[in-house]
Amino acid sequence: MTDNVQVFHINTRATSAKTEPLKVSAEAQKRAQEIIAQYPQKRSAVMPLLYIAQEHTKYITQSAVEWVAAQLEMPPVQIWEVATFYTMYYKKPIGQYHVQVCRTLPCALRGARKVSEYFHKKFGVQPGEVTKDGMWSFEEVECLGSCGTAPMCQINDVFFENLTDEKLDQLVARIEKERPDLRYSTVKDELGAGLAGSPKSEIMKS
Amino acid sequence: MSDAATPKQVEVVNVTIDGKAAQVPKGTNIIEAAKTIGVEIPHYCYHPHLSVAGNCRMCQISVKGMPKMTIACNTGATEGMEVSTHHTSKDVADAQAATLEFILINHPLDCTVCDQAGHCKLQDYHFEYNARPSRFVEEKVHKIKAVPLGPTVMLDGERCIMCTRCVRFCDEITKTSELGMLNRGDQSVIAVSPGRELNNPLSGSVVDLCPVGALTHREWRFNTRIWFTKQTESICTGCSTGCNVKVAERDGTIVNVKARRNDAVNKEWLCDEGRYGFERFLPANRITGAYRKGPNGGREDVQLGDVINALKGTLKTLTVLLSPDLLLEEYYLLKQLLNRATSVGRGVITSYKRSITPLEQILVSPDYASNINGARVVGLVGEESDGDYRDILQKIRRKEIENILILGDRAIAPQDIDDALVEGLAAARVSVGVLTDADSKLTSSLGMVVGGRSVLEKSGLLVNANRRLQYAQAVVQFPETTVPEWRLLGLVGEAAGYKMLPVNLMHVGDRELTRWYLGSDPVMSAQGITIATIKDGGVQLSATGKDASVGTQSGLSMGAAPAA
Repeated sequence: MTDNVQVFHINTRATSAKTEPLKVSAEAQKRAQEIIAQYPQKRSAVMPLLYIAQEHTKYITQSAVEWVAAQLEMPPVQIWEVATFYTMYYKKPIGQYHVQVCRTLPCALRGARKVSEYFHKKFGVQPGEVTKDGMWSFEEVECLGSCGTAPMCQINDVFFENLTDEKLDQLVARIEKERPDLRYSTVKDELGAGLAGSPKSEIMKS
Repeated sequence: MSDAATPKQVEVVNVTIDGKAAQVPKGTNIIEAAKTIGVEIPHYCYHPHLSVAGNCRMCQISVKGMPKMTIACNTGATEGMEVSTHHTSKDVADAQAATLEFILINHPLDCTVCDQAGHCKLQDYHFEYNARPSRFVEEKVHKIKAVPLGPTVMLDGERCIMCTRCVRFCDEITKTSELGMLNRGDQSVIAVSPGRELNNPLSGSVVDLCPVGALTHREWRFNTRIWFTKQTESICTGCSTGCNVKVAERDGTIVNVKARRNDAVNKEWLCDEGRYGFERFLPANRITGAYRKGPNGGREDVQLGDVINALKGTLKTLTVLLSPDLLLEEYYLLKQLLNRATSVGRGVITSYKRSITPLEQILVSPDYASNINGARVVGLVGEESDGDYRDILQKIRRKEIENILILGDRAIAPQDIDDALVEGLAAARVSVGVLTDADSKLTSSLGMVVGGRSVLEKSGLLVNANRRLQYAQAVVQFPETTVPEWRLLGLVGEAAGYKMLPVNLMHVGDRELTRWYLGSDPVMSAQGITIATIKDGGVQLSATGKDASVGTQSGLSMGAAPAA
């Protein structure tokens, strides 16, 4: 495993066509305006709006970026800058369960590479790929802020920590059997000893 | 610098850099402060006309009293500050060497095929500040290569050192924000948004700004190594802004045009029209030698003496149509000639007015007349010259003008050359043109044509839209058989008994002409202006007296010309 990050490469020759902005639901459009109104500068709302767009398109597409750019009156490339900087915005289609393995120093020292290799072997996919059944995808990401419990991974929006091969076996087996909803952290981390975040989605609040 | 900074009374502080004292306005960054006393601090991301990014870390310095090293670009001078650079501090020198090694970790080191080789800051600084082999033995990160960002610029992602100068240029100067930095860490890459491209009137400037070979001109990639070229510091003659440029020429072809820094004119920017169109002043089909219209529409070769003989008796009523890109010396010489001959003839000139977009206004002047202000400065034409120009064209069409001299291809705009004008020119008793383009409509309608020189083949003085006197150097060699306008004017004057240049005109070059002009125009000679003083950033002519004519001591002020 060498090139182990999802790198967003733009090929201007292949994508020279301009894309129309995404059409979002009326509810999402209203919510976007409410979020924008919270900030003195429109551009401050870039991250929540990217989440809204991602909920519509499942991953950040060109039309999603154009929509955010139009809402915030920002150059689209600056939306791409944010979207490609953060790993919680997906630049490619992901599986139903998207595993993000932290590979930054503390996790690396505690065996993150082994965790990565576990998923690689288990699902037979390279970082950034989705299994044929669309169930799993995984990638390596930078620090997820859980260094004290390294090595760790995030599946959808839930942390799983102090990982060992045995623990990973249990985890994968339970997820495949129970198919829990790990999106938006709406389900507490009942499977591992992880942290439970607040709902990410501004839409889901309402 | 001083122009912008001095109007407000800014407190001047004393700083010591490597033991040398410097006085600079408070808050001046240390890179600029060090420049004032001749100390160079290496830098990649810092540019004097862009915001401070502070990401390359090459300009590290040590300031007494500060616990850690700091970056000079983001450190403002304060009273009593004591700075050590790499010259005096081993820590700083070591840090710079380490920074450079770090910057080079993922750099492909493909200098052998890189267009930037020979004028690359990575090469320069490695030689000067590091010069040791890399210890990095791992596989380098691979990124996108040879990606066109737009119609003018090509990106090599691997060579990029992420200084973001190009991004800041598009954000802050053109405000078009086409470029951004995607991904993070060692995967970072400069990119445009999908479906959009880097396409603005100044887009080529990002290549000038790129300190490495990451951004290259699509127009000029892989054409030659820069050290095989002859590089000339000159002035762009596209419009009357008079941008300072450095032109690289090889075998008579222009292979690169780079903006040269002049804070009073173009900062360090250049428009695409000027840059990529630089060679438009060299016609494909040249007129060499002299000829006149023969019987049956044919042409017969003549000697220069025949042309002079034809012109020498016409001076009293000579109408001269002038290209707006002749040299100041030539306008002056013509003015002198008409004065001496107590001529009722006159010179007319067109400014090639055009409308420009708000984006072009950053740099471009609304004309195609690089030296029209030169003709105004010597009093040859008035401020509103286009009316006179159109009047004269009408008179030519009505066949009311007997003696016509056309100096330069652009003396008559192509759209003004209609059948009536051609007939009018043909009907004139004497019609002589000094032209370069054998394909232009003018050549066939004139009685006599002399092969002239392109603006790119002449060295001399230009006055830009803001009345800044600048020295343009010839960037390509002229064909041997061509005659510059000034030589013809001088020879005609001599033949008519008005010897103006105290030299043998057949054996001097542009440089002697310029020296003669600077010595004989009282406005210039009174100020002691020499070619050397003009070359260093130009000289600001006083703005008083809109039609300041030769001989008025309206005063000149020497403009501050910061070194690039």
